Amino acid sequence: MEKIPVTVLTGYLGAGKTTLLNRILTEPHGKKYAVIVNEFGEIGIDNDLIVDVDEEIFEVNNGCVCCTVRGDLVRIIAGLMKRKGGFDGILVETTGLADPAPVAQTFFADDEVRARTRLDAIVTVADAAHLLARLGDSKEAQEQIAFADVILLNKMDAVTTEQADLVEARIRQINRAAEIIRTTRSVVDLDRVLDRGAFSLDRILDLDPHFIDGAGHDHHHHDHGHHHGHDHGHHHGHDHGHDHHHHDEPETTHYKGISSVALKTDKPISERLFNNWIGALVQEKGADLLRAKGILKMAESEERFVFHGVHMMIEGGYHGAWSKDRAPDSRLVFIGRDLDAEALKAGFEACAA
Amino acid sequence: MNQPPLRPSPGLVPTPNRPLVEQARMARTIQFDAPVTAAHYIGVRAAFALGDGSVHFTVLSAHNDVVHQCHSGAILAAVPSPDGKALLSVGDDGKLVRSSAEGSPEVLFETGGRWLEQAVASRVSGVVAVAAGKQVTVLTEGGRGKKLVFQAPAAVTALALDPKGRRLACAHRDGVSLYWALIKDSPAKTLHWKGAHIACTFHPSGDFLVTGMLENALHGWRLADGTDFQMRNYAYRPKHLSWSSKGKLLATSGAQVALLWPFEGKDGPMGKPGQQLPSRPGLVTSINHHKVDNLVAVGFADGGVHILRTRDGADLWISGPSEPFEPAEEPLEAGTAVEALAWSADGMRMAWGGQDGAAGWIELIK
Repeated sequence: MEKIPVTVLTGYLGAGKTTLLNRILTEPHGKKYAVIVNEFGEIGIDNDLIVDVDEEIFEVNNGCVCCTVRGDLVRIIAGLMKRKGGFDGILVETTGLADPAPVAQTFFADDEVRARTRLDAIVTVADAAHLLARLGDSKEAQEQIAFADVILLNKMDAVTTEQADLVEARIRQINRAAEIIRTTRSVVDLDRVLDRGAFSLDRILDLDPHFIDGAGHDHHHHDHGHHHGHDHGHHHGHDHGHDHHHHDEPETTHYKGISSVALKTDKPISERLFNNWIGALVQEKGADLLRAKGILKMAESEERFVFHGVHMMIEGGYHGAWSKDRAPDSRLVFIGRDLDAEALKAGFEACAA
Repeated sequence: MNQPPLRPSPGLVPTPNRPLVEQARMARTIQFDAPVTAAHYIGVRAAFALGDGSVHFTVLSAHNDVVHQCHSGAILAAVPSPDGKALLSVGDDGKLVRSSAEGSPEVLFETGGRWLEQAVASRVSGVVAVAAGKQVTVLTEGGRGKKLVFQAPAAVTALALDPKGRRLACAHRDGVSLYWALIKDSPAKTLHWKGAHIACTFHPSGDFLVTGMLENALHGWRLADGTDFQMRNYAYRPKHLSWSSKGKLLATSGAQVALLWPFEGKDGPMGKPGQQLPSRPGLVTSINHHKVDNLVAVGFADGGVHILRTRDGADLWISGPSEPFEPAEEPLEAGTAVEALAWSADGMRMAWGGQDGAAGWIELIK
């Protein structure tokens, strides 16, 4: 059964998130969406179902703070799956001050949600004129940029191109794996936002000829095709020994810098070594690792191994053939706090088959 | 106790390569075009509540089925009415509707928009309780009497009434809150356990409360002293919990076998192993004890339906696939899971319904 794509909309207060939502709901795309919002604003359209929820965040895995999920989403999505005919997509709007992790983790942690839906993309709407200031004073604004697969750099009419370049450079410091789209009044081709699927993965790989070993500067992207069966050891087992991994982490009040590390290698990877490495890595650094994504050439298979993760929750699996246009290689991006690029590079290279 | 062999009708010997529903005379398969949310027997009719808001009261001939469009959206839960004569359904249109094969559906309660996600009813007290988010509404006299409102500490994910129909358990994240259903503003007694509780049931004696958890575990409390216990390592959330007639066994879904826990004595299952009923392989997504005999109806993720005898594991293949073609790594992705199983009050009929709308019923004889 085809999984329903889920798009998560985040964005700091006033960035244009509701405008984008209204645009999605009013444009004649002929699709039927279920929209999960926190409060009824000025939205509401005939063909779509709008569900009003209270964000209810709880911890799974015996209270690990980085394994939070949205309980309301678990319930609502289970309810949506009972409806006749289903939906072309589900949109989840988060509040302006929300940490995106619990909503993203819901799509890893809950079996029922995972069986019927897939997290297609996290779309963050950012105000080009105010983002730099927000990144300076708001942990949530930084996290929303860090978690994004797609960033709408909105309100371009309020800034010069030079100013926008500056903002984009700052975004890239945090998240080099997101696609940045410059918009005014959230006007964007909806195909670039909704149900991006495998198409965007291939496109970005093709557009991305110079991913550099260890210190690349390019965006690589994937948001589809995680079969997650192949690392059940991680997914279901990641609570083992899980309660001691970040107790040495001080309660930080200052905000640690978020950055990304992009890695690439032409050597085929050993699935076993990679699973061991990535499993240990998220055990140890999960609290600081906001997102991880990658497409890998495993020695064991002719197919692409696609994986992604949020904090300690990761999943990966084989997903389709490699493009014939270029030689298969392995690319990984980590986005997080205090990333040790050299250690990550060394760890990744040690996974060569 | 002498157990006769399981047979669907006089003289019929089950053949191994066909499901019984295709061989029995008093049986029917139905393909609905919406997911089955709940199934219950109302008298001799198998009632199916669907994701398109309709309720179907079925008999042998489809011509004599009675169908009501009870909700404008999906039905999210349904239970038999306290008098046993009607089905009470709740849905994402925020309505509680009473429907039966006779007469028109009747709206007993509505929220004005919020999804009504849970419902429970007691034959003994006539109490009906429904939940929308944190708000739990108790309706007395089968939904026609007084109305009492309780606010749970978090969104309610399951409801249960004790055997007397007076103590109301509301499961939510991090615990279960207990209310006296018939006492206005009675304070909650909350049993705490971290995590998401998504199913809830009282032992038929009222001595134990057991929840199924999103974390693929059961949690339980002995209510007299609050001693709690847990059973972990399910493959999937144990969403369906069903007691044997006298409460000696709790049958649970969520494992790769029908898994039953002993509840004899004051310690319940504490320190005792669960009983696995050998059967075909596959993830059990639904389970329901027979009202009298030691039989369980078992529904699988691939749509298979079997009846197993708990004493010796005797196995009757009723409907759907009997063996998965290959063990599915993610069995729920097929969208064929059996979601509802029901026994008639006399225990002679059993009905089932699945996520993909595949449903049916069979009449058994002993």
